[in-house]
Amino acid sequence: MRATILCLALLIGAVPSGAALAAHGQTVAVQSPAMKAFAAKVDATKQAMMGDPAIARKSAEDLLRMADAMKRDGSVSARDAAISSATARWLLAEAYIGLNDAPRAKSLVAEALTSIQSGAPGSKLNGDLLRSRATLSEMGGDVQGALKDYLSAHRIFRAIGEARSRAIALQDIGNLYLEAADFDRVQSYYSQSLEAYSEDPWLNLATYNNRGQAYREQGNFAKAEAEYGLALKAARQLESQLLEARILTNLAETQYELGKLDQALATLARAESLVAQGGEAAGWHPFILGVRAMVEARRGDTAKAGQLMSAAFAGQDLAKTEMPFRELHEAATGIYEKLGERDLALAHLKAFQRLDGEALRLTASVSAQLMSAQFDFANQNLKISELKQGQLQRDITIERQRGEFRTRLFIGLGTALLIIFAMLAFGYVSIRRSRNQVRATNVELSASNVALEKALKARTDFLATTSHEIRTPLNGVLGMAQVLLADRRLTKDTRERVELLRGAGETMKTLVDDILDVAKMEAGDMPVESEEVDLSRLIADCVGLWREAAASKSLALECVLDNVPARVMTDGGRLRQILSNLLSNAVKFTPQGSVALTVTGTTDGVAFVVRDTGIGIDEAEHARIFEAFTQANNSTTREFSGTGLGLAISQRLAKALGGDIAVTSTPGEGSCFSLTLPLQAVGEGYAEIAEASHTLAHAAVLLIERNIANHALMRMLLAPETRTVDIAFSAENALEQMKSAHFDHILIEGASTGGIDDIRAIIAAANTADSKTTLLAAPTDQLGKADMFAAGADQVILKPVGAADLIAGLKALYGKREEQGEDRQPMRIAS
Amino acid sequence: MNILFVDDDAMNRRVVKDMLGVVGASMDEADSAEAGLALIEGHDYQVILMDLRMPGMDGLDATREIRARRDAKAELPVIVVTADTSSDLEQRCTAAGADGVLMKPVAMASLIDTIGRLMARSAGAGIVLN
Repeated sequence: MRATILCLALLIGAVPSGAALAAHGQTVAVQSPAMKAFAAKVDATKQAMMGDPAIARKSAEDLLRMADAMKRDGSVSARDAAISSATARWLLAEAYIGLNDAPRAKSLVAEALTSIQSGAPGSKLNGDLLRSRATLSEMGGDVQGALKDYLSAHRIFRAIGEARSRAIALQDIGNLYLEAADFDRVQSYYSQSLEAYSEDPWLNLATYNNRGQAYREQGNFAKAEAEYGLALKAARQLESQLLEARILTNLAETQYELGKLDQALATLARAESLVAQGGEAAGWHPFILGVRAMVEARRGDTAKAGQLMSAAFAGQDLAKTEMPFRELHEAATGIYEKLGERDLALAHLKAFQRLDGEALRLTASVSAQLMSAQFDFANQNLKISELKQGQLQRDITIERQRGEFRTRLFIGLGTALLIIFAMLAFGYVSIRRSRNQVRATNVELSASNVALEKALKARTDFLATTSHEIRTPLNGVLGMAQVLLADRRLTKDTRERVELLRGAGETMKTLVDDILDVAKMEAGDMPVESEEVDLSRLIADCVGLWREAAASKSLALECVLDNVPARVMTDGGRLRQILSNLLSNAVKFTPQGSVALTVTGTTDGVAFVVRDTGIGIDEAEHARIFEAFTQANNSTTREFSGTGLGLAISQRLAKALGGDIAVTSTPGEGSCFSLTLPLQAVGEGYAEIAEASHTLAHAAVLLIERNIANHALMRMLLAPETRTVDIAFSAENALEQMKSAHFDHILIEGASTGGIDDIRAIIAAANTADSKTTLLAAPTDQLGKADMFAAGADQVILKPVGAADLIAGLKALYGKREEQGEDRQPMRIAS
Repeated sequence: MNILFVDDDAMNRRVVKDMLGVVGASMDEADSAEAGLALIEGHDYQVILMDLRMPGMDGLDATREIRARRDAKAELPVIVVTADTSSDLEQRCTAAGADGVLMKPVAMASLIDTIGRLMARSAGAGIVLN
């Protein structure tokens, strides 16, 4: 069985490789007479490959001698020498594979791969060699190795735009999963193959037939019937009676499963008329008879079924039948039992068990190996969206490949025999299947699914644990950095160094958070909450976070609100996360110009539009940027740091909140990301960007107070009199908070700062942000009265002060500004 | 102001102790839930900071024990400090009676802010500014 399966893999590989090689030969032939002769020999060898492998081997050995001679006499460049050496060894290896001599083929492929690495890494030949090595791995039962090489080959073909070879590599992978009875993946890979390249009827035939088979195995006979219909068209296009007869048999068996017995018989009659014309198709007759027997048995004509079954097995030694007969043995067992022919029934049962055991062992082993390879991040690269991108390339290359295809068709017809042999490989699989086996397969399938789910959960658990383990040491790094930064005695240099340390720690924390978020989303573990959210505040905070980064690049950062409800129900934390990510990207990818956030209330909810004048994104990349671990192109990753997880997370979050993110962009001109969310307003009123407030009751207050023991008291005192109260524990912390949010009023507890310089810095920042300032302090040795009044605060309140006096004092600052004039004196309040 | 931090990791305790030191709060430490509960018995703390995963009793069980007390200490503010990232974390903490959750790595500003807000919520009247 192993040998027959491999024939398929080999043959589908051998035809295209030869054609590609011809093209390759032509390009190098221009360079020297030696290469010209070599290229001619390559063509001859390739032709021989389609016939007798022994002749092909001789031809390939000549080729190897030529390559070695060219290398010795130095008549070609080192690169050409490496390529010709690899080419010769590859063809010889293929010949040995044809002769079933895997060990020799293996060492030749290894040598050729070494040559090509130095000569032309990433070339089509490199991909072809990886496929040969995969074939050999598969022959030796190393399914994981085969999968790895097929994936690498696929990556190479995709990178160089070899759509057809890529489609073949995808089919190779599909075949692996077919052996493993993982039919969902079979469907996926064959569909991707078709998307990558659909101009070759040979490949299409394999795709439709194998997809049909996968549907049958999954019990979806209606879809299987449709696939076989398409396969039939492809078979007719190839003008092969045998192939047509085989597909017809598959179709008939599907119709049998669907209970369309009359149609099944009609289909089989068409198949029989094809094999009756003789030729190589005649060898297929027993299988048609066998399926007819199954249909007749179902119709109740057991006697006729018995006759047909006997004809099907005429001349076969029941103890030595091959895999294709497995299904027929099972059907025959039932038919002979009904006819009372116990001995025959028993002989067929034994034959069935012999073949079934073999098949199950194979499936189990392949399935187990693939399962352990399922930690298959590589499959990310095969995603449909990337294939769509490949389709663009396909359109361009189709013209070129049409010519190539005609050549191949010619070769193909000349070697129909070999191809037919290969078709037997998947044909045998198609003809089997009874209910028992479907049931057995289903059991296996659900076991694989359970195992897969376990694997996915194991991955999430692993990431959660890793995240936990990283967070703990990070707590030490970040925590101590923060404690150090709170130390007033730090010199400027040291402070900068500690800031760097903290910055790196923060980046690492974001990374850990992002990776964990993605893992949770993939495991479907991302609950969102619904709470009342103050949109003005949220938007102002998000914009504020990026104000400094934008200013440092001289970018204008604008924010416009239009008809936006003041309060809505949503998950505030998640909305913040999305908006911050969009703004962060806009600032990051815009070297000059502006970034603008426009928020608009609509009848359906709220639209948040982030528009920048940055580098932009190619249209082809628009879908990809929302995938995990993707930046628009790889060079972007080097230029702009980041995990590329932000947009993937943002879009999934947007969807979780009932909305979506869309992108429009022109490379070089800028991008525009629109987040639309179906937010429901709570209460009346519209959000607005906070303006200087006119009363204390509307003011957002920031208090700078080092002693935590006073925090609670001050909060209780201020909360009823103001809009919001925030507390900073140091001057640095205050400046940081003022960067990311607007405060109307800054209350500075003098002793909580590092001294007069800190106070001046805070007052300067407050004046820039148009915030009122109150300095609240008891004169000390470090901070004399004169200093306090000279610092420039709008108001100085001397401690101790009673609570009522303090509030009255703060209130007095509102509505007084204009009256105070240019060189105003700070208000004095003292008890 | 005196705070108790229950965490089996000495580095974590040191980090939080130093952070609290910056804002003038003193901190006692316990390296297990059992030791923490014993300290609560003999001392008056204003806030308890509680790690979740510890050998022996875990932080949530310790919180439940505090809530099950029959004296005034049953009302002690408890803030969970953890590196646990499971999505039902907050729910579990609230169910056990915790008043807040802080994620490791702990941001100093959040730590102080959370304590301050909790204190404001639970403190009585009688405001005097010195």
